Amino acid sequence: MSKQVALAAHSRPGSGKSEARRLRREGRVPAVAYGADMEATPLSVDARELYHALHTDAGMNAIIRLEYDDESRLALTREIQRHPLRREILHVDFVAISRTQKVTADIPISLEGEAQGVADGGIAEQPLYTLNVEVLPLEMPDQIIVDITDMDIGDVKRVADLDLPEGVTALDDPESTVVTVYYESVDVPEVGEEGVVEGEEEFAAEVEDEEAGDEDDAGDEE
Amino acid sequence: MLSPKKVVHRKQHRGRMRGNAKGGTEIAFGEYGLQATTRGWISNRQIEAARVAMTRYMKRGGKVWINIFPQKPYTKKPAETRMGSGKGSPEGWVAVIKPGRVMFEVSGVSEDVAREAMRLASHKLPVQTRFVTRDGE
Repeated sequence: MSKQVALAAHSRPGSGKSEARRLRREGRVPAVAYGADMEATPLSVDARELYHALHTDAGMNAIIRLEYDDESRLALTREIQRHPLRREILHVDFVAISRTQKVTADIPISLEGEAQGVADGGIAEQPLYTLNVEVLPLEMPDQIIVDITDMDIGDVKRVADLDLPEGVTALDDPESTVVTVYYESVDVPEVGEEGVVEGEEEFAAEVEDEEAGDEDDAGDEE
Repeated sequence: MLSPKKVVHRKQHRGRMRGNAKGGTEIAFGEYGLQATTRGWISNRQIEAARVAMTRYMKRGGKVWINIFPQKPYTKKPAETRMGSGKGSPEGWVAVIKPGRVMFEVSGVSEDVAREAMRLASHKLPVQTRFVTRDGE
């Protein structure tokens, strides 16, 4: 169940990259808040406080009590922009929510236990890491736990098979695969004599052929 | 090895590699990934060598995704040729990699195995890399 996290915000008078960069230099993150019953409002929040707000048990689905300009609104984060390398948050969108209106959110799916099929040599694959659900904000689960201990090779768990908490409706296709255990014969390249990897011999021969061809080309050009 | 089936132009300009990756900076399919932290051209042979290194270490078990594709042809003039006389002949294919790009992903193995497989793969690549996880935000 998501807890409410208080987050102080300042309204942001300027806009554009110079203003955004100035805020980031001061340790703040440019943000915007919008929702059904409010105008889009440019804000800024403290980077450290935002980090802690998004690192509770609820993760990215934490319900944030946004406090700015003598106003207090419940909000969820949407569309978090990160630096590709440093991973720091560059910009965040807050969407204002109401306690009585259902919202959509992506809830993380985590697997519990080791599948029987994996012990027998199978591979457990999880194509779906988050589940898109519709739920009242205060009833939002932190994660959906899927027990896979009884899964054998060839078994599939789909969205329709999940035990969702009361009040949570899955929006993803009920036939979508959440986790599957399968057996696959993989051609593992073996190290042969003299450390030559089988399969690379063909590759080496191919390269030699290509090189021979290139020499011919070179002759033509000269 | 990876290469385009057909191309509109056989030879391309070399181009520039300024800035960071615009897309493909998050883990999309697997649990663990190998992210580039510097820029460079990665040839289809290097991609194949990295894939083989990972698959061999993981043996059976686990799934590998290759998120990059060598779409750019590179050319080379023959050895001991005088300058001029036009652009060289196509020699191979490369993927243009900028910092932040998640190049390989794996799933279905423990973090230790994934980390070692990625380390072996990174030695086949001409860019600096780091290991990233799905929940490592």
